Amino acid sequence: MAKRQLVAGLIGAGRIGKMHGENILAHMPDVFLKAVADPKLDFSWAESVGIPKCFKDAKTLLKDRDIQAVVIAASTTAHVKLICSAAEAGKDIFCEKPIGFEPDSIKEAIDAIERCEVKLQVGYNRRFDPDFKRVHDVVQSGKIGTPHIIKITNRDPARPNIDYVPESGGLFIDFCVHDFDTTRFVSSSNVKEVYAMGAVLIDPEIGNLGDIDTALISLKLSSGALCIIDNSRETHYGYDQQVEVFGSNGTICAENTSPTHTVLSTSSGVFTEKPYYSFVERYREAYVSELREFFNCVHKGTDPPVTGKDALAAIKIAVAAECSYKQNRPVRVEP
Amino acid sequence: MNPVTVGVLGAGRIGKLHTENILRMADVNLKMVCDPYLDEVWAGNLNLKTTYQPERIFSDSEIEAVLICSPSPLHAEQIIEAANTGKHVFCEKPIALDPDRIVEALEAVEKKGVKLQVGFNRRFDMNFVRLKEAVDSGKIGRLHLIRITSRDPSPPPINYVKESGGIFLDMTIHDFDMVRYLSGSEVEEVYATGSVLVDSDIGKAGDVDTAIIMMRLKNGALVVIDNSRQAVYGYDQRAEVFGSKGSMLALNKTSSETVLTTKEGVVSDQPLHFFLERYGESYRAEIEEFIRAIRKDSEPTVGGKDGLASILIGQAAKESLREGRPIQLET
Repeated sequence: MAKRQLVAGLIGAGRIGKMHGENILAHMPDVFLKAVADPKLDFSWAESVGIPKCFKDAKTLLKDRDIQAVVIAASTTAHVKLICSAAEAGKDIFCEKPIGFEPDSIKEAIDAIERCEVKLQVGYNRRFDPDFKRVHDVVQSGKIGTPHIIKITNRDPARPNIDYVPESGGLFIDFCVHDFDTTRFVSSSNVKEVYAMGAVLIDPEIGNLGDIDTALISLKLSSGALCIIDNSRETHYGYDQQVEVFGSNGTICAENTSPTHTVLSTSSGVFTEKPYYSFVERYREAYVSELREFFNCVHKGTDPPVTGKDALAAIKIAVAAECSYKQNRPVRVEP
Repeated sequence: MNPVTVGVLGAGRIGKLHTENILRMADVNLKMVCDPYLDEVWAGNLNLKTTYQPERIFSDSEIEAVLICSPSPLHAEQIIEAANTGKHVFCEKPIALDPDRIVEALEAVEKKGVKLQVGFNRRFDMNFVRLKEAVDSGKIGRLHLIRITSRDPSPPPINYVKESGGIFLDMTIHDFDMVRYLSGSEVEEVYATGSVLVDSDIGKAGDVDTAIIMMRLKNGALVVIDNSRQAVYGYDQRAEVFGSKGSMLALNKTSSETVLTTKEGVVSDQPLHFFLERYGESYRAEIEEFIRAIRKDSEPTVGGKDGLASILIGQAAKESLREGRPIQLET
């Protein structure tokens, strides 16, 4: 007998929302994506992929009692409200990162989740990337001993649309927040203190809006280990995503992945392929795995692997990093 | 052309290395090696003319240049002595831990018009020369980030640690110089954080064994260096320059490029064990540069002010670690 299908709804169908929707339809036969809601819904897309119910308003979707779980991929400013409404409606929730820009709004969401006894998984997709997961697993196994130095490189292929910058929450909250989560994930340790240096080297317009495009962030972990993150909004050569954990017994590096592993040698040099260009390509597998894991938790009634508490911890580091950058001093992370 | 006649002061590990290198150089005549604790067997095997007294070298009018490879606390006074006797100087790093003492030595060098080259050998390593070329040629565009990983295979003896001036002045000093070399810019601000994770005795000696140093350069670029006194897999020496048009990496060197694949996994060689193996070529190249500068009467590419600048950065890093705040460097 076929396993009973889990009924899901999608809230927000922009770039990421569409991708999640298509991933469910293509890779999760045990999930029935019944409805989608977006104030600016692309109806032709919904029809073409075969989602039966389309709404402009998330409230209508949440009223559907068949729907057990929702995937929230709306704009960040709407996340907390949507989480609260979905929780009130008794739905389990997968929400894109970040939940909100401030720790207080995230706490509000966590309170609603706890009160309504529903699940919340946050979209820190990199935890599900096979390379990053392997780094985590190797560290856990003790093969590299006690972690001493963690190095994370996170660089975008091209600068964001300038209209996006003011609403992004700034580099630390929009961009580095992934790295803060990765640090916690690979080290299994919390962050105690942060010092951030930033610069505007790519686009003066980003600077005019009060943001930065290049940053170095050093973190001190509760375990005593040190961590360094380097960020850039523009590489030209692709999406640069690397992690190293160096410890008392050795080091493990996750290098960039590229579409092929060919090596071309000619009289002008030896060429390998550039890294994947976009996050959608680079983390294709991770986006599928995180949702699969979420629906598994809903099925089995287990706790999601990345929770609201992880989201809160990452945002607290981001807030401290921003404060450190503005005041040019190391800042303790609120416990 | 007549060979350049040189004397070597100090024949410990690094002095021996330089001595053996110059014996193979056709345009250098090694006249005398001085060390109060001379390894007689080694000197005998190489048929060297030796002395226990530095004065014998300084007073020898035939000797045009000296290589100072003695313990660091002697460097400054030997530079001054060499300058006063009209000899060109190659000096191992650091010139001194105290910036004032370095300034004194540099003044003597300038007054007497002799040449001074400081032993920042990594500038002569082909990996780093290539990075520098990529920055200078504009291949990677405008410089945005420099990342240096510099980890030793094992910590030095604890007695050495106590007299080393600390990790920043002893170990990171090479990385500070590398940053100035690669960027062609100066350090404006430094922030250092450290931990004792390798050996608690290093902590008891008031030093750290694991460190991250962040810097902001005058040209706007940001820099990060990570150091460890112990990488169990070998001497980890990597660097990256990242700019508006791309990035260039320098990876570790290995003794062979073989890859063994079995059901246990895929295994390649570990990095070359330590500095003598890893930077062997660069030690020869730096002495060749020094001899060239003497012959052509040109300035050595890495001089006294480079020796001073790296010490000032190191002192600022120390202060940053002690006070837990970023330190601005005087300009």
